[in-house]
Amino acid sequence: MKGSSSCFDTSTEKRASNAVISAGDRFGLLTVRCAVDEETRASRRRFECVCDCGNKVVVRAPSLYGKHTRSCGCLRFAAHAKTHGLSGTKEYDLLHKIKRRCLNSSDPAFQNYGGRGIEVAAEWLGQGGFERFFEHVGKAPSPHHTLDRIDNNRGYEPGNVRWATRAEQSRNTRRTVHIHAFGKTLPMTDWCAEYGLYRNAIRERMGYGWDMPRAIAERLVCAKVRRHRPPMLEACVVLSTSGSICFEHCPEGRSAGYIPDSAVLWEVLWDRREALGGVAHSHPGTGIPAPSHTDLSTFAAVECALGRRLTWWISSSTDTIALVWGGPDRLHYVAEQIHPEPDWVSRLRALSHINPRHENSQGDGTYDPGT
Amino acid sequence: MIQEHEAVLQITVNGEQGELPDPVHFDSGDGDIKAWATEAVRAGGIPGITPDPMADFSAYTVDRFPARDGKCNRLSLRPKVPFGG
Repeated sequence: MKGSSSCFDTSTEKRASNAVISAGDRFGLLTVRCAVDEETRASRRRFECVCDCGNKVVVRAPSLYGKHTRSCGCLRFAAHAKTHGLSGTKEYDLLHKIKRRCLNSSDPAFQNYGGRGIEVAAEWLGQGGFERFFEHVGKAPSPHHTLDRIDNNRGYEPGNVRWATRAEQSRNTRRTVHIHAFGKTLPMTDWCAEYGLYRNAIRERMGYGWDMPRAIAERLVCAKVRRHRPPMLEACVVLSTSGSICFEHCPEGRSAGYIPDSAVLWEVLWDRREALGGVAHSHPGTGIPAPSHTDLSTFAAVECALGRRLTWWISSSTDTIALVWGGPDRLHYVAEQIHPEPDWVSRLRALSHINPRHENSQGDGTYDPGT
Repeated sequence: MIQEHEAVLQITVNGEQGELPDPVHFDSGDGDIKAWATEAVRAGGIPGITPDPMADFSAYTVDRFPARDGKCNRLSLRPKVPFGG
């Protein structure tokens, strides 16, 4: 039968030009309705066709016979709908790269993968391979995760892959040094993280010929001492005219170099203004402390508000100074070293986590912030 | 009568405390508040505070207390008290 139901034939365009197309002939999903012009040359003739989806299209005769046109276009969409729709995703690219480095001997990384026997599971190859791969590994938890082989000597196969960050992966390479000590085996990085140790220190001690447990244990003693000593934090005490502490000020947010502004401290100063002797605060380090510009402007502001002068003490871990306004400039305070130190200094140092030292410096000075 | 968006401004200086006679906007900037307080204290316009022609609130800070328990909004101009840095 000429022309009818021939859309799946492998006829050439030349043969098609001699063929007769009639209304009702089917080519794929298209059914010919009528010719749209009076063209005599068969290769130029065009036909109006109705697709199974209901769309009407005009198609040249050779396209019908040559299988170039089998639908109004809906077949193309249908074909796309059959795929997983994950092309271009991180997971799709990943499987592509895995296959390349394991199976393609011209890949630069082949020697570290396929070249040393790392294979890709057969079920993750071929038709539907990506779907099965994706079903097993799932979506990457974050853009920073990559696929890690749990056992580095086994291939990419179900049960031997997991999502891991770069840091996690770096602990699971052939070069990772696993250390057995204290009844467990961990990468050196994990030992260092667990005990707050420096990796270079461990390496150095191993260089002495020590075994790993000893290298860790020796460092551990020092690390424990460090861990149990809290860091120095500046603290402040309010002192009455009798020289006793009437308020201890250790606000949240204080650091080794700063005590933040506090409405609470100001309220204490205002409420006790009648019997207020002064305010002391700690500084980090040793030697004779020096007031910062912040300290001096605070002294001046408080005295301005209270309408009277106070004494301001500053203590380091070795020395204590007392500052009083010397004028004439607003921020010109004169310092004098206090020796011996009053009793409350030890309490101030304790609040600051300072270990007291016994060697005091001697001397005094005047502090002028360059006004 | 103090409106919802207004506040009483309390000033502490020279050992004295007083309130600005007129309410100010609760959301006013610190710079504006300090400027108003400086003018008022220098001019002697605050009951309870002795006029001080040299008043300077540049090292002060503003605490803001929203209305609570039937009390109106309150602003407090007080000296800053940080140390170190």
